[in-house]
Amino acid sequence: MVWISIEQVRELLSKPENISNAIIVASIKHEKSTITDSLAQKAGITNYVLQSMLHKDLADYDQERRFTHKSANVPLYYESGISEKDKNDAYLINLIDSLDYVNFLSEASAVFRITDGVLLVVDYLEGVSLQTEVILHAALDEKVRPVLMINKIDRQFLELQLDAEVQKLQ
Amino acid sequence: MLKYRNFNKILELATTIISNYGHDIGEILFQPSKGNVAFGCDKENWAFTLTTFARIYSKKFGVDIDKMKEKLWGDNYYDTKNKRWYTEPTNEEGEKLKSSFCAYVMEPIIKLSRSIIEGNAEQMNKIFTSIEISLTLKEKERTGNDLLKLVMSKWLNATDAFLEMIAMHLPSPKAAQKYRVSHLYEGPQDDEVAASIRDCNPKGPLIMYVSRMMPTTETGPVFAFGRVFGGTLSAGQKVTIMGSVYIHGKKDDLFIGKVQQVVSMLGRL
Repeated sequence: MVWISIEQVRELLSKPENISNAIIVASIKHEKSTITDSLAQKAGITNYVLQSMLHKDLADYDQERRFTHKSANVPLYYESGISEKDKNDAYLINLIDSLDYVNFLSEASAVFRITDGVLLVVDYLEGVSLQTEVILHAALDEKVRPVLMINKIDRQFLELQLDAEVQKLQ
Repeated sequence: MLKYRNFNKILELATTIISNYGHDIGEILFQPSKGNVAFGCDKENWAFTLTTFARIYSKKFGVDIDKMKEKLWGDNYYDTKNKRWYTEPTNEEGEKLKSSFCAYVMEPIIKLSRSIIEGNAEQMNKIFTSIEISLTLKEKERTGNDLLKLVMSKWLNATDAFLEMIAMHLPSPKAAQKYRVSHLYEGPQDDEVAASIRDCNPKGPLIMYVSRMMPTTETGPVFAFGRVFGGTLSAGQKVTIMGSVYIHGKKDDLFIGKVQQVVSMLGRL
């Protein structure tokens, strides 16, 4: 857990070279929230565990009010450890937290417009699903640069008991 | 080899989608050897990019990180006997070699996972010392999935891999707005607003995109959540608000408003 003050955030904000605006897109809602939570717990500026509890209350509140609460911002702090001469090695990553995947398509262009990058999560066994494909298209239409994460690779060797090298099936 | 092939299948599919788009976004193809693809498991909180492993091996063998990254993906095979790299899966003596991704990245992970699940204490401790992980007495009492999760998240922490990937491979606003300006701004590309977006200039004219409105209470204020592309937003400032049906050059759906307060989100709504 990194605690940095508002003043430090302000200082980081004044260096646009060291900011990244990113969003996480996953095929299952559950995957994304575990990744967001683990990121926010370690590098988030405020206590996100408490926040996610608040989030739940808010979701109920949203339903009452008949509007859905879809994106909020989580600032994350990262130090690369590689300091170049003119580059500060502290980074501020604005993680735009979009809440629901299914309802997400309608808002895709609005959300992608405020980010510059997307972290795409793809299940190892299922591969690239149609939904993921559509989202990737929407992101690229908005000129958002993607990075990929291949998830659940442990299922390969724990459930299916496959070795790293299986020369041929059969 | 199956594992490697399956990874390639995912990458190929994603790459075909991406390759239809222009190259003005910069380097967007997924290339594991560049470090913009992570592999991992969200539930157990571990993930790695090839940069992670290249760093480990470059420290161990004293090789350059960038060279190691290239070698860890694709048709690269290392022969431990002859101590040289091959691009074919067999060496001169006809022995079969394992591809470097399988031998140096996947195999250590699989070995560690299996020895923990099977409870093989001897092998476990051997691997722990080689990957420089020390457990406290209380942590040593854990077994099975619990221990696996702990060890893996200590060794290949998902957060570190993600943050590094995002910080290093996703563009900063300054870099991104250079190529996004033509898409973001409908007006003429040579006026001062376009220049303000292009240079991400805090002293230029203010331009902000509001992605959503967030009401607080029944009668309370409404927060507009969005991103400032150029200029500086401050309280008391007069702004022109363009509605969703506004067309550049016309006067429909155009309002003038005042910014009452500026708030920054720190992880909650």
